[in-house]
Amino acid sequence: MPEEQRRHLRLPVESTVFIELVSPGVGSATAGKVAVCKTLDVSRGGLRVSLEHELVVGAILQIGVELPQQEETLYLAGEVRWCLANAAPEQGWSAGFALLNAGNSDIDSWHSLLIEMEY
Amino acid sequence: MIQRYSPRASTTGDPDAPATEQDALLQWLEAAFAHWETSFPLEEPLQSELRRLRPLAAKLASSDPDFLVAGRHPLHQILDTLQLAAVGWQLRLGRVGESLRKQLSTAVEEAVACLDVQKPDLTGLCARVAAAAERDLARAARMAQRTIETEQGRARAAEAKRLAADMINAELEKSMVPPRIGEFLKGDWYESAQLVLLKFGAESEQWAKMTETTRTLLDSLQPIEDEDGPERRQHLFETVSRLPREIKRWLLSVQHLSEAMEDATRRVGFAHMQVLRRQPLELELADPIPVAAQETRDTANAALESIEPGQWFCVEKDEGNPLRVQLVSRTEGTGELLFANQAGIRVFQQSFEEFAGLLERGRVSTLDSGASFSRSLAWAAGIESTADLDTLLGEEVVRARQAEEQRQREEQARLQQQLEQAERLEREQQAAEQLRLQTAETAGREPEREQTPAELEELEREQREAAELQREWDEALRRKQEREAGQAPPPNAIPVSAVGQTDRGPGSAGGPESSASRSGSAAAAPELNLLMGTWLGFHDGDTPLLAKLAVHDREQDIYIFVNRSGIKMRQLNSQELLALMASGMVDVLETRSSFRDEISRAKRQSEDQA
Repeated sequence: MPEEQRRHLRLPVESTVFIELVSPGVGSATAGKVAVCKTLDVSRGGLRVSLEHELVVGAILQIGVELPQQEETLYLAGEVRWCLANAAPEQGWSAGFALLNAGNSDIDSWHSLLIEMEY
Repeated sequence: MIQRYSPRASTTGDPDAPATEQDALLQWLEAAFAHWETSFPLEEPLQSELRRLRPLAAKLASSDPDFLVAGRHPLHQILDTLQLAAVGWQLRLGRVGESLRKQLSTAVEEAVACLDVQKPDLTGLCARVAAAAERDLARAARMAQRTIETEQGRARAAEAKRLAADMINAELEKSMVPPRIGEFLKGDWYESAQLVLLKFGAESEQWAKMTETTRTLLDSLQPIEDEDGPERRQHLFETVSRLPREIKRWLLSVQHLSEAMEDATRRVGFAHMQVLRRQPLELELADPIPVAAQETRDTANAALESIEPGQWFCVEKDEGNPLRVQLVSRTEGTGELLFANQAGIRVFQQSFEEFAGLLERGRVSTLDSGASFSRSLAWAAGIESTADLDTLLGEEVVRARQAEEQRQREEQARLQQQLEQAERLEREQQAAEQLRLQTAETAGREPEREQTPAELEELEREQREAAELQREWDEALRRKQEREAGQAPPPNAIPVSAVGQTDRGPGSAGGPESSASRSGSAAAAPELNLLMGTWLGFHDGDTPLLAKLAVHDREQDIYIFVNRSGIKMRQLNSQELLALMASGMVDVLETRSSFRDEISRAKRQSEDQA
């Protein structure tokens, strides 16, 4: 998508992201599966990450983001919009998340922080 | 009690005293109700709820001639249906049983309201009650069928495991084997044998051939002795060239892993090379595959002869903890009885002996149902059998009844014929499939190797998923029942009915308040207090669905539910969700969300690795 058509500015911020790939089942004592990866860029409406796992497009996953100079992890819900293998197979996958306006998530804090960063 | 509500008998004498005929009617009704409650008991508070219909029954008995014929009046049918639908109901079922309780209360309320009507029409209510009961019973039957299939799958897998181990152990007992081959036989070969049994059955030609291949393999690994003639060597050459192909054919468990397949044939080929070169080959008597001792069960238990699937029982396995359960499956081969609750969910499985023991100790009582109120009315009129009825009704009615019985027998025979035809068709299809495989083999082709493991994997996957779903349901319901039984609620348990409270952030269960800022305007609809990550059980469709709340978008008023991998399973607005909850079609199974803990763990792992 051309940059001018984007609703929000993409910022090349590298931050640590935790993505819940598989959650524990009901009544299960076993842990789920969480991927740890880095953002390639972030915007008010989403984020692009580089990770070792392929993601299912359309999946709605819980995300924890640790932005630079922020103590608190921000908890968000995101929908996988695309996922592509990186040029070199050993470099894993790149995926784009659209952040969802989930009540009781940290989406408002995310917006505020991103607005500050844009200026 | 009924007398208090009886209409005044006559315009003369004591206006509060019922006339003789009405007195007899009321006594009949009183006796019928007493018999009904004793012989077809329901758990409280349902029993008391239905007792509220006595005044209406009294009114109808003295005003509507139809009421005097057991089973004819809509009120008889309403009570028959409600008892049938509620025979398995227990307070301990919690939200699972809430829907039925509400239906019953509503039906009673509507019927009681008819007391004030001059000529009450209960036909409409009767139809609604029957339709709701039919729907509930059908849903429970579908659930029970799933339970049965899961158990059958488990039993088949256990039987396949036992038979496969028996076959391999029998061969290992007869011959010594190189350790690496013994390892292979007890590993991939053993797993493949189970798959062959599951796919084709113990009576199949495929199983016989796999057994033969096992025998041939072990025989081919025995060293050539000096006294062996050239025939033995020639035979061995032939076997050696044929065996890898046969082994590959039956090695179903690793057909998708070419490396494992090659490893197996390499091991066998290496051992054959040593035998043919007459090199010393290390042979040992391999330990057998451990097999759980098969319990010998007495399936010919006289006490259980009359017990059939579909019957309801009140079983008191633990003192003071009676369970209303339905026998959903009786397996003669293994001597197992499988019981489910009103929702069709597995409660327990018992051997014939265990259940007979409970029967002997008086810990089991049969819960009768089906036209219960009508039968009680007949009983109170002195009719306890069809013979009593025939005597009372005369020849014409007897002929009509016999004609109806004949019609039912014919219908039964027709259904049986259809069933047999379907079974015959299935057998023919199986035979055709076997023939197809044999033909492919004769023509020197591999019989669709790529498909077989895929199909088996699919079968296994489905069985695993069904077992996992059943386990999750069982576990979730157990936890819910524990909570509802008054045990200390978990720290993150929140009343489902609580509305209008503020949600907490995702992953905040049991932890400190999330830093989440609140977003969106408050929706017009009442807000459900569901945490992100809350697991819900939906049973408003044909198949029960477990799903987790992924997003609650307040602005658009939508709740999105996903499976464990985040795939969207359901989307509802708050009104729809509330309606489903109110009708008992949705259960909140778990409010735990462990995402925050998972992140802490992931962080620690990253730090350790760093």
